[in-house]
Amino acid sequence: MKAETIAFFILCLGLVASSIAVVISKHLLRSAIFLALSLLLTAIFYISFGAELLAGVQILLYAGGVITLIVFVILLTERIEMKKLEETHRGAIPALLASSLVFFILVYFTWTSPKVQSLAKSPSSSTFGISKTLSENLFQEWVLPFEVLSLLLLAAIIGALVLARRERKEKEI
Amino acid sequence: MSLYPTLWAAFLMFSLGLFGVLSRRHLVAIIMGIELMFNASNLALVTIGWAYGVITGQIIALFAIAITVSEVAVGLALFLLVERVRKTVYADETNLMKG
Repeated sequence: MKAETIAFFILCLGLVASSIAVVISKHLLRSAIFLALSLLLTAIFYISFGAELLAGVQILLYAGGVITLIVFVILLTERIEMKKLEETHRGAIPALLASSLVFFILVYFTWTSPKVQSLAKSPSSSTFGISKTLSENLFQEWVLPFEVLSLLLLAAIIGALVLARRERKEKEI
Repeated sequence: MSLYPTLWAAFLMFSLGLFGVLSRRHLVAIIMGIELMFNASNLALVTIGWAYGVITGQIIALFAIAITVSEVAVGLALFLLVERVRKTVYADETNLMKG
């Protein structure tokens, strides 16, 4: 067995283990740290699939931005619930059944699909090298979704500001 | 690099995220479950795009990451609002709209 294969399976194992830790960890902050770990491992996957730009964006936006936001929100609101989340799960058995059903459906349909089988036998495994191809595609073919996305980001900024703003009382003004 | 193990890891991650969304009580934990599901679908997109040899998977994953980040910002703002108005952080206690 090649060293590359062993490293790949260790990576898969780490990804799954950190995802399990995210959903079963009792302490919310620990859960967020494991989420950061699984996002970083996903970035390693992206690098190994030749998507370096995507890996960078993943680390910057997810592991940098989203985790920071989540940790900030947890720390802001933790003092209200000092119980440290003793009971974090409710109805775990039906949820486990439903999610494992979804998992088996996904595995079944990809395992029996002839298209995916032929892909697995002979993946094109072309690496795109540097992000030149991606940026050319992004700013020529996909430029309209790109602009619409900027509009969505603006709407999200305004929405988050309006929602999280503390309303002032009359006498404070 | 092989297709099936990566896809299955992504599917397992998706199912774990779904489990988190369905069973956790804390709203931020539910948002983290949604994050796991988004991340798993991005990983599956990139994997399939790599197997096909097209770059579209990466581009869609890039868009999905941006959409996810804005979704998290709005979701956490909603959580702060719920926590301030309803004085609770649990999803099953925010049942104002329940019939």
